[in-house]
Amino acid sequence: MNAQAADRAAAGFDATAALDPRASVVVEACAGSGKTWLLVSRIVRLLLDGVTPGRILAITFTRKAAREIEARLASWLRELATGSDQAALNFLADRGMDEAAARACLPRARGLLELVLDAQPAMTITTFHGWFARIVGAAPLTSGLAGMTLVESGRQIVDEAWQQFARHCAREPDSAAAASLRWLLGEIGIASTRLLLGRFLARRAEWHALCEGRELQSVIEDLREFQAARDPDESRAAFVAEFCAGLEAFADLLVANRTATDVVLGSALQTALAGTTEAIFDAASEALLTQKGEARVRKPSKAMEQRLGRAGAGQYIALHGRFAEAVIDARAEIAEAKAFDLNRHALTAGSALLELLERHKRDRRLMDFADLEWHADRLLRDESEAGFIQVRLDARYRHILLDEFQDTNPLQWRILRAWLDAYDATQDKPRVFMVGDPKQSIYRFRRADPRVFSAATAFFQRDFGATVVPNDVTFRNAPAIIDVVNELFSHEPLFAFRTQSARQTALPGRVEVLAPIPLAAAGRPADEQLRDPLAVPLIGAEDLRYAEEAALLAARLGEIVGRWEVVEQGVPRPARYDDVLVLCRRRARLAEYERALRNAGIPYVTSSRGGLLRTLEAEDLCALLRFLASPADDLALAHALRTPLFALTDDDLLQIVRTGDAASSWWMRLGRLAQADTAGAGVSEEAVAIVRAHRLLGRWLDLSAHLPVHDLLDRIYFEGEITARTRAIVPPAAWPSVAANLDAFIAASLQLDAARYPSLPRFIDELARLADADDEAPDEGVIETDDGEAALGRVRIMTIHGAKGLEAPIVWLIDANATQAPADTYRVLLDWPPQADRPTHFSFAGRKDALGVSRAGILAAEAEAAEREDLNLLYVALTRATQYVFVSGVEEAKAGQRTSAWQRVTQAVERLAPGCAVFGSPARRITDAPRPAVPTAPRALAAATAVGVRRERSSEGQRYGTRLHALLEARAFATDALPVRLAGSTDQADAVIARQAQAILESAELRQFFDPAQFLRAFNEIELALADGSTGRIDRLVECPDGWWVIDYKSGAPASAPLDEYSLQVSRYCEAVGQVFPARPVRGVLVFGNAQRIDL
Amino acid sequence: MAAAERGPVSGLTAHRLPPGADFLARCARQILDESTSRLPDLSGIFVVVPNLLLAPDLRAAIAVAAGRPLLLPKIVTLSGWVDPLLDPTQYDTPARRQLRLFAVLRDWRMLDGNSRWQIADALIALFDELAATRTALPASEQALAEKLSAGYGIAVAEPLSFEARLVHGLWLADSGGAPSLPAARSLALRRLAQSSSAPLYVIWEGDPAPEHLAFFEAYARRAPVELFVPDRRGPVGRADAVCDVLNAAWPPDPVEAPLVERAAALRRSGASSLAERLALVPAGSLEALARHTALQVRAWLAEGRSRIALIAADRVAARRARAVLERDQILVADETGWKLSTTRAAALVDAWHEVMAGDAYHRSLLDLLKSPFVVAGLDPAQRAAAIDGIERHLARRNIIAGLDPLVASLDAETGRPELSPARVLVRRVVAARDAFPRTAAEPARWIGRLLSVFDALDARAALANDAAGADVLELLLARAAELDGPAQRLGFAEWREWLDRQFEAATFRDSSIDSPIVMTHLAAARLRRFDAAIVIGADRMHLAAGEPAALLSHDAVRRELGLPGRELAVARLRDDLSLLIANSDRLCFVWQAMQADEECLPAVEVELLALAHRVAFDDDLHRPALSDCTPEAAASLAAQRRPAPRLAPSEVPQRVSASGYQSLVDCPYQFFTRHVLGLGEREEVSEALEKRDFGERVHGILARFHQRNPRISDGDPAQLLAALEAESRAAFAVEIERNALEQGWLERWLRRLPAYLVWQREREAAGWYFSRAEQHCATQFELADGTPLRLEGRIDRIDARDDGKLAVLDYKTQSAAALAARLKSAGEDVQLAVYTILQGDEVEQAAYVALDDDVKARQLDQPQSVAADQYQRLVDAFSGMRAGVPLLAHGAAGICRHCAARGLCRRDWFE
Repeated sequence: MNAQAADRAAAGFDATAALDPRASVVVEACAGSGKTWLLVSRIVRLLLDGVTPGRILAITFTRKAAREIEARLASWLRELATGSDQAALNFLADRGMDEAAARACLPRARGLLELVLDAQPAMTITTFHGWFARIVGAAPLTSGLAGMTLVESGRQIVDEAWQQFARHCAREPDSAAAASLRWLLGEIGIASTRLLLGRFLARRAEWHALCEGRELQSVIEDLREFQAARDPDESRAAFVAEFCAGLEAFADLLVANRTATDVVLGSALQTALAGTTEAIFDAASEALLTQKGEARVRKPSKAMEQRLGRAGAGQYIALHGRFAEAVIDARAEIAEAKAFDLNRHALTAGSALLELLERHKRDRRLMDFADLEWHADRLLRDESEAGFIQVRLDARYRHILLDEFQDTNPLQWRILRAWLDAYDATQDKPRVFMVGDPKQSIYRFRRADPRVFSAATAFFQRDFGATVVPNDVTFRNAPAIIDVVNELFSHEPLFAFRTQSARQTALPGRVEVLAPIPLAAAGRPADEQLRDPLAVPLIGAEDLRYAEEAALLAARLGEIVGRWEVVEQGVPRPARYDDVLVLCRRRARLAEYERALRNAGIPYVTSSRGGLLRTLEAEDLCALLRFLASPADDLALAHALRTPLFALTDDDLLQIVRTGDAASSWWMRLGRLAQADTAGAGVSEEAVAIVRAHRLLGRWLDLSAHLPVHDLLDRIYFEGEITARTRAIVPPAAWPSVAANLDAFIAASLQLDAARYPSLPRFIDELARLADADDEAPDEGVIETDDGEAALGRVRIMTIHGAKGLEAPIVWLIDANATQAPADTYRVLLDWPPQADRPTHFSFAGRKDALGVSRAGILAAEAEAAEREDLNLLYVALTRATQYVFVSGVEEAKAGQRTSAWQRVTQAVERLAPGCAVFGSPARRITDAPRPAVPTAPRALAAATAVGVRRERSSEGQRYGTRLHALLEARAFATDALPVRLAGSTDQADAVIARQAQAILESAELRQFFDPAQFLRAFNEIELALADGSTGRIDRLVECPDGWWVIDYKSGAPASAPLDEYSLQVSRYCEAVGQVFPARPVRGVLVFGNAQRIDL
Repeated sequence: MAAAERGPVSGLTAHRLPPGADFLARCARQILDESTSRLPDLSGIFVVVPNLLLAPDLRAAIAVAAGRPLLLPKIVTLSGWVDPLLDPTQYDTPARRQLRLFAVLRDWRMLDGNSRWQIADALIALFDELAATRTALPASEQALAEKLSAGYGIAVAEPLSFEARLVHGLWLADSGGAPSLPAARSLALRRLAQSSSAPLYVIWEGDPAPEHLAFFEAYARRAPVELFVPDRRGPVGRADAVCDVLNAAWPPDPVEAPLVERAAALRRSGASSLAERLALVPAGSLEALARHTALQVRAWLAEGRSRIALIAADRVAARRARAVLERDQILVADETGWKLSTTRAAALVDAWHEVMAGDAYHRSLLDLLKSPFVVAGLDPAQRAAAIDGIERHLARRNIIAGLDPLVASLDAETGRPELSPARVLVRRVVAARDAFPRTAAEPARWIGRLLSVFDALDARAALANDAAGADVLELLLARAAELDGPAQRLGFAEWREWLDRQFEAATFRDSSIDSPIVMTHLAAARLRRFDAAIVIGADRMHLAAGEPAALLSHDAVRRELGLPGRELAVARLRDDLSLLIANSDRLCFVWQAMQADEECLPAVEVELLALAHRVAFDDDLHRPALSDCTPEAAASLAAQRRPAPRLAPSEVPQRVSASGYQSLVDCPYQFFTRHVLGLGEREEVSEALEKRDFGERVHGILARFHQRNPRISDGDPAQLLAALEAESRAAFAVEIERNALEQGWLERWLRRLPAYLVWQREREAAGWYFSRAEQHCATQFELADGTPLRLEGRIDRIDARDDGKLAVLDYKTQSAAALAARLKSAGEDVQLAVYTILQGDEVEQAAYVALDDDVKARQLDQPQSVAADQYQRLVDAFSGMRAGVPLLAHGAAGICRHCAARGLCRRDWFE
């Protein structure tokens, strides 16, 4: 480990400075440089320096990362506590401590784990949102935030708010909001309106930050001013007024020019000039501009001079130039006006909607993550409350560690600054440790802004005296990969790139770009003859290219695994499937790649967020549940019947169709069929399946009314033998993920079902809702590695976003040649310079042709940020690989505006190794490596024996006894009301028992047991120990002048009672009582509900 | 040996006994020894236990220790002892108290209206804790504010003094008036102590809280009180080595030496006795945890250990584990229970409220009707028919909400006797609604209304027969009784919230299972003996010390007020775990080490124990989770194959529509499911117009418009536009009335009108005049084997020219470009060709009319020739089907994406 420290130092990075607990530090660290190592090391150093855990706040980007930091810290501290002295000293030396200091703090180091675990308050390792939740939790009672529930997504609430908004607009059609909504609906339609305002709502925190106490109208006026928006009619009128005369001359020249186009345009213009302003303007635009809105190309020529004369030609060209420019300007003004209209209406309608949403959430006491952010912002910006909130949190943070800071957004940064401002001026400022890599900022869609990193760096340098420590040494990647990375990114002007170096100089590595699958590969049958739909499938051109790329991937992986050599911690070994990370930008086409791997028998796992409910196995279960909730849903039943649970064939389905009339549901027909089959003597093989299906479904239908969904599903899994049957049916390569998804589905049911007021219909509605809810949809199951496959593992397929923080020996970037930027109309345009306290611009961008020019600068900055993020994504993707990188893609029919990742890597490789498409050392191959054998599964356990019994709900007799007691006692002691009602009691049952109690009390035969004048003493429900050490309970034990009586109450009448059984028990009690009170005789008596007694 | 201490009051003796298997036996022995004069009738003495679950063990211990028959002492809990002595008219029941504080809080205008229930509950929890620790708040709100200021370490300012004012004001309100139940109990205990002279034995789980100690001391003034508490402190290296390890990991008293040293000291004492008894098991997933639990329980059972406790720290995981155990017929008696609100019975109540709140929104209504309690008395088949009838009717009539529209439209269909069960059922709902006015009322009156709803829905008997249902009824009746009389009136929403909170607070226990295996929580396991115990969810989130009450939870503030700090809760947790470990022969702590892809750390206590044990014995007690092999694939089933059903000639449909033919071209198997099996997507209530509905409406508008105005060229443009607009507005009126957002569709369409009229004029100028709209056509022809096939279709519009030539048109709410692309893939799009076939040789033009953005027609090239080819293909395909050519599932990806037959075709699994 010491060697590692030396390595780090030698490589130009000195951990000592970064870990100095007394200094504030900013570390800008490249991929693979060990950011988490550094952060956790710093925590250890702080603890060793005497900082109590409660004083430490570490904030990272995801919950997963927070858990990793905690786990890493715990495992290091565990090693420190239990390892040898030498190991501990090495550990400390690695983290920048000299030997003397290390020795001195060894005892403390050994006790750190306990210190951290026992700490009160505990160390805070959390996410921004986790931290905001604490802040909001500490809010004063008057803030109205008490008892709020945090929901994952506000989508459903937003839907409800939309409904309210629509109703509101219908009720008050003359309101400004209603007018704006109508304008939007007419202009851009429902879907785009919802999209646009939805995005407005998503940015509400920034919107609030921008407005902060200002009226909506004044914000709109500012925007009008910014856009210099004027009425489009004015623009047209101004143009026409200025150029009308000239246009006439120009029209004449066009006609005179005699080219076909000019004649048409010219005469149209001539006609228009007699008409309205609008007509003139349109005709002039048509005459001067192309379809795209650019000036037509009109150049002087000999022919033109012949037609118009030299002067005429000169005038023609001059007028065209002047008018074209003027009309372009006028049109820009008009576009600007349109853009402003969109903004005005969207802001008016959006604010009204937002207000309803906020109110609705307050009423329901819900908040989502976005609310959390702005509530935290609001609370901390109120100076009187900020200090109060700080002290309300148990912990007083003196050290703030910020991880992955490049993914912070301006609002979060503003909250952080407000928090830092709230530190009392008399106190020391807290120490700050910030680490991140702006090159890996890939969360623009979550409003992250890499510029915040530099703003924060400057801030901490200035106000906290922070030292800035760059770290450009990677411990992860092979030099060949780093060469390509350096070559690629140092040529990107958008990337202020510092050359990186690789620490593992001997690690073999290479980068290979594969030629994109050409368009021509997409074959399709000639169109001459109509396709025979029964025999020939239709294959789209699109599909084949990706399928082909996928096939290439599968084939190459087949060659690599087991044959190529990868190095793990310095030791070479054959490549396994789990050495491979397949990365993509978008998941849209993943199914294609999965299919190819499945067909090639390559095990894979797709870490797919939110995809569970779209898998076939989950849809199967949903269909089954839908049928159980609505037995007349034929399609759901047919679907369920085709699942592995029943695996009915198409012939079976045809048979069901043939049975019964059209009016009867499939369920009724299935019943008829099953009945007919069981009635027949020999049951055929197909019939077995149908009978089984009917039997199981019938049982589950009965259960579904009462059983919670999870319990119902568990029965379905078990009785339907879902595992064994599914396994037989799915392709082997897909089985593990299917199995994991089956588990995930039941786990999801458990989560959903534990909520309030469960019912199957609600569960199904909830599933339907979740299936469409991007951010809440349940994730696919995580495949647990079992021993059988641990040897080779499985290929991991994921998005680049998902791969953040991961590494693998082999990385394959698929679908890397896409150059089309996703169309992104109707979005929020926001400018919030990170050093600014609030956004400087907030508006909406509509369609491309109606953007106007005033916001060109903001749009350009956005485009640049998007391109920068493209580069960041590529950087993240490439640096995941320790040794080998492959880049593949398909040729596009129409090239878009972006440079694709494939193009960039190709260019870099070309510069390093002209003409090769490969850079680096060839992979070392292992010949005939034996494939590890798959161990056989362990033997199943012996069948278990049953334990426990389910009895009738609180047995009738027991209830009777208890109740009769209570009544007898109440009556006997003359309080006639019963203190409590008993479970399940009904007035009728009460009346019966009351009558019986009355009868018993009035019975002359029984009076001796209930009339205090006639007995000496009495016990009710007396517990007793018996001779054999067991215990029992006697209903009533009475000492009468003639001896002891053991009384047992029985419901009903003696005629039907199992007297033998009763008397056996009573006689045991009598015997025991006899031993307790040996002086007097003991007798047993059964008292029945009809007031009869039987003496034993 | 028991260490006996005399308390400050002469009659109270405390016995500190080591925890472990013989704890109760030692208590029993002591009780018997001190009661020799009373033997064999001990019925006159009382033994107080913290939890009645302990009573059977204690009785057995006394019986065994006595070795002879005797009348046993009365074993009681404190509340069980005093509650029968309370007069319910003399104190505020929890419900009354909550309602009273809520009413007081209504006057605190600064508070957000909806937070008052929460604040009332938080205050009650705080006040009860103050009472339990016999702590009084400072006398004035200023004094309280100063305490808070000292605790937080900041000067008194508005938010802080508001908090002080609120807490203090409510505290005064709470302590004035009738006492609360805890206060009443406390008073009753005081009276009891002053009146009773029976000897008292107390078996307690640890040092009693101040209020309990006060009672024991008061009691001891008149009669001897013997207090038995477990205490794991003791000399290191004594016989019970388990306590040594536990004390090293979780020292019961503050110590100087760090854990590493404490644990290292144990090394000398030899091998670990814990290692064979206790395992710490991280499980990879929820399923792994459940499997491990089930296998561990089975293994214990096989070893003859049957008294097993499942400690449900993670309730969700425990529930999963229980289900897996039940697969093996191993039943678990659940002592912990569930919130009443999570039962199916309580869901009925909420379903009803939802129906009322949402004006019988169709989904809520169906949810209500599908509750098993509704019309439970009805014959099941009839009940199913009624519900299904309503479900279908709602969809067919697209009734989104409203009971009256539903009743009216059901009644209107007099010709359909099969709907009569549905009618009867809906009438019941109407009767229930009539019995449930929603004006503000006292809770007791609300309850009365709800009970009438149960009666109207014929649900009451079924509820009474259901365990949870009986609890729901009991809760309602009990609340009605205790809140009878003048009380706070609640509006509908408030009533709902109030009842929700009642259901949340009440616990439902299913007592139908008798089993030696119990599911319980840690506190309820105190002092009980188990052959084995498994703690489910021993992770940091689930196994942690309890949090203090939500108000004034800051540690320093609590100390200022004299409330115990968090360390007390931590000590309690560690003592509870120690008790469990000491009292169980075998133990397992299991947790989900990974949840989805996040690491889940073990509980602090688990981590400390592992560390101590590792230092002492070089073994961190971690053991791998047990797992069984996944079942083999079922041999009787074969791998999924591409479906390719063959039809018997009689099964081939004898008629086909344009869309049926399209479906056949798209994917034969899709055709099979739709047109042979007859499986369409189930009709559903559509809440918002979709593009398809929009298209249908536009078709209708244009049909009506042209029927009235077959030629427009000579009409007045303004009038025509107005007519078309009026037609359009009328067509969308109903939808807009229902959902104002639908205005969007209308606005969008209105913008197209001028362009449409221009296009229509151009068309007329070209000689094409509107002839018919929405024309249903059919033609019949022969297949190869001579059987007839009927081809059908409905044509949006047919234009005619003066020379008799026809044009078949189909309106599409798509862009012209999209339609052009559609027409380019010759042969794949059959609609226009089918129309041409249906209209015969006179058709000269077949076109789609794009109504999106631009109004333009896109024509099929050479319609007659294409129609002939398509005709031939149709005949060939149907002939092929009759000849047994299979209907393969081979649609293109684009078709499959939206195919309703995905579940039948199972494409995902066969390629």
